[in-house]
Amino acid sequence: MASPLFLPRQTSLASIDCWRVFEAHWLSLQGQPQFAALQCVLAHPQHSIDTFVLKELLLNLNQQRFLNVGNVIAFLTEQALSAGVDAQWAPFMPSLGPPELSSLPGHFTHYPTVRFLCHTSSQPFTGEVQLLLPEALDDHDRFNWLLLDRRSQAFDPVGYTDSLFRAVLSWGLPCLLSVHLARRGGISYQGLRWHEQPFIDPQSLIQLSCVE
Amino acid sequence: MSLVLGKKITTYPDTYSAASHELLQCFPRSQQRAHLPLDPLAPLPFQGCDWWNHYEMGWLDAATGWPQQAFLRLEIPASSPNLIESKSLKIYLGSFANSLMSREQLQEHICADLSLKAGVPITVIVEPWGSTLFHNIASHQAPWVNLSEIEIPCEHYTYEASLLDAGLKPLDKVASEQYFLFPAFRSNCLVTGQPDWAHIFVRYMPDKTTVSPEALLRYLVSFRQHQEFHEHCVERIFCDLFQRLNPRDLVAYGAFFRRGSLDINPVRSMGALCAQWARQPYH
Repeated sequence: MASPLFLPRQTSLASIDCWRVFEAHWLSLQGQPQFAALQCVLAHPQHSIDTFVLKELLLNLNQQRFLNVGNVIAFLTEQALSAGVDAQWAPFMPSLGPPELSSLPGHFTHYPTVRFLCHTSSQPFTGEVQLLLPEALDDHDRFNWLLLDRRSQAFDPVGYTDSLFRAVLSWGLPCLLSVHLARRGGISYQGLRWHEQPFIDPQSLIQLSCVE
Repeated sequence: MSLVLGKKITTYPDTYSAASHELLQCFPRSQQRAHLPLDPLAPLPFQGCDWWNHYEMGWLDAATGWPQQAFLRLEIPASSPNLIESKSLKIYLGSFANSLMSREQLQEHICADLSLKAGVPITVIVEPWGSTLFHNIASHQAPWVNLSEIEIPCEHYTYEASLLDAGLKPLDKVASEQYFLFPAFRSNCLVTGQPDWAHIFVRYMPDKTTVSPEALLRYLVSFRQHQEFHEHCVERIFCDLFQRLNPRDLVAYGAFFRRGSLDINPVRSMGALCAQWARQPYH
């Protein structure tokens, strides 16, 4: 592999990052093509994933033979363990959308117009934000301005999520924030951030990120 | 023309102008069709279209300036002289991101520019997410045989049409329509060599010959190291089956996974198209 799959990251934020792979393909022991959609969840991560390296790793599986999807997951888990990273790989069912936070208590708002530029390629990322606050914002457009300001700025996905979350925190508002980015190279990203004193159970967030 | 496909792009235009249609690159369908078992003097044995889904259509509302987001569907007739190259289309559609306009204006610009490049009028639909306009092939009530559930050894990963021949059988009784699904199809981009994934659907009404599911599976697996555009893979599948089966009816349909916000869904059919086969947008 040309570079490490996991990149060190320093953060004090309570967070979950989830990468969803829509194109994991390999061969059965008989040589027949197999495929699955897999997700990788990093809870309270001290690492981020280099998606270019992940894509390369997945491409290398295309002509390799595995007994079943469990063996593919075991292989990917081993990659993480050897880097000292606790990554939870699991299959998921692609559906019409990412997990919704609207069922949780609080004031929920959906912003479908995320856009920013990739910090390495300048290629636009697009996606959506789900924001959960104890109560509605006085000025509804306040958060829209955050999105608009960042529309032509360069970020990496994790950095963009952190940036939005810190901006809301600076308003003195405890919140739960979910950023979901459309897939690039067959891989999508969802980042969850919440206040240090969560007004919901973080375990339920992990469940939310696993039921797509 | 030098295609942008396979080249590193450093600047992505984000403002639409009257010259933005120059971002679009097209490719004559005739070049690839010359390699298919088709009589160049005869009419095409199929009709059809390419359904394109764009999941990241963004622009700024003319009245308020706020960002807008929608789902875009294109329908390009298979009879068009040109196909649109997908990376150039992605760059072109991205040029609307910071442009102020109404949804109607957006639709008009895209329709005019793409029709110019394709060489025929094309259909453009801009819909909000969650629209019920689109149907899902999975809900199409048909006895699909999932070829992935057939457990046979596979060893041919380079394209080989003759793999179908081993499974051809004369029909000794009246047969019903045959429905096959192969959800693990792989081919590779003609220019970059990167893998493309698809669900392939084949429906045919036999006349005097059928093909076994095992032979069809081995044939579809043989595309795994084949390099060709999505549209031409589906036309190749159609032509190989048409040539061998001489069926009373035949549809070949490829629902490809998205690349750069776009998925391409070519369908080629001896008869009228079934609108239920149009693909539902998904994340």
